[in-house]
Amino acid sequence: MSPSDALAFGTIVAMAAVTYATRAGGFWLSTKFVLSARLERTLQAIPGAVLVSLVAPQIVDGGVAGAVASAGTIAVAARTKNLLAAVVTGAVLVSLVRLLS
Amino acid sequence: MSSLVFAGAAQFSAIALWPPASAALVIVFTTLVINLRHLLMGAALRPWLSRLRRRDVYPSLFLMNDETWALTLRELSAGYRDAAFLAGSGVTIFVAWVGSTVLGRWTGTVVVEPEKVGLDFVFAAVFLTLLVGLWKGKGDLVPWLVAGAVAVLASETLGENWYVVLGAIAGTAVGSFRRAES
Repeated sequence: MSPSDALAFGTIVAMAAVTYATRAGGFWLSTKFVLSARLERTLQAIPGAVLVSLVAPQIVDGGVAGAVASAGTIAVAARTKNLLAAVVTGAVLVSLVRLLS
Repeated sequence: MSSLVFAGAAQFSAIALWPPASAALVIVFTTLVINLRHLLMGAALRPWLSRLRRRDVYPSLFLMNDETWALTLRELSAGYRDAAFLAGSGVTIFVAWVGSTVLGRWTGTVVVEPEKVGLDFVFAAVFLTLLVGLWKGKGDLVPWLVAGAVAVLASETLGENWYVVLGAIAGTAVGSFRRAES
């Protein structure tokens, strides 16, 4: 195994360990401590903040095609609550707008 | 990665930051921050999981993710007795997730230009859809705008590595100050 392969594999193992720690840790901690209201609010704020951070730069860089596709994706998601429908809508819209511009 | 980490948002972020030559620490730290929500999810299942044997609980938790957690919570809250739902739905998603990863690896070299079919937008579309599901009302607006603004600023000034973590921390900090549900 080359050094860069070893590093890649090691990184993945570290990611897995850290991820499992978060999966098991919540239950484990809840058997030891009581969750304060403030802490619970903080933890609840995390997924939204993370997802927005992941998506915002790509949307901003996506130009008109990205904006139209995002609006369409959000609209379909809000209407149907169907992940597949929303994702397909986004992909179709983005390629359509790119085709037309 | 799909079988060991089994966490989509973290995997996509890691791939965006790959290779780990200079970014290993950032990748692992980003993975941790992205997955911190699992702490809350595991804690939320405590009323039901605490009745199982430890050696049933901890392996089940390995496969927990947003979708199976939400479904499990809904089932158990509605009176369904069997907490094994978490493990069962987890296995189902695991097979689909790892299978799709393998399939994508094989067919990836055939689809020459993902941009033509909008496949590159799929990540963003998935995250946007998850956000729609997470939206709880006007109280989310400011934290999310802050997260987005900080993320965009960070990605323009600091480059690829830190924008997720910084945006997430900023959004979470603002979000933790919410008064009662709004």
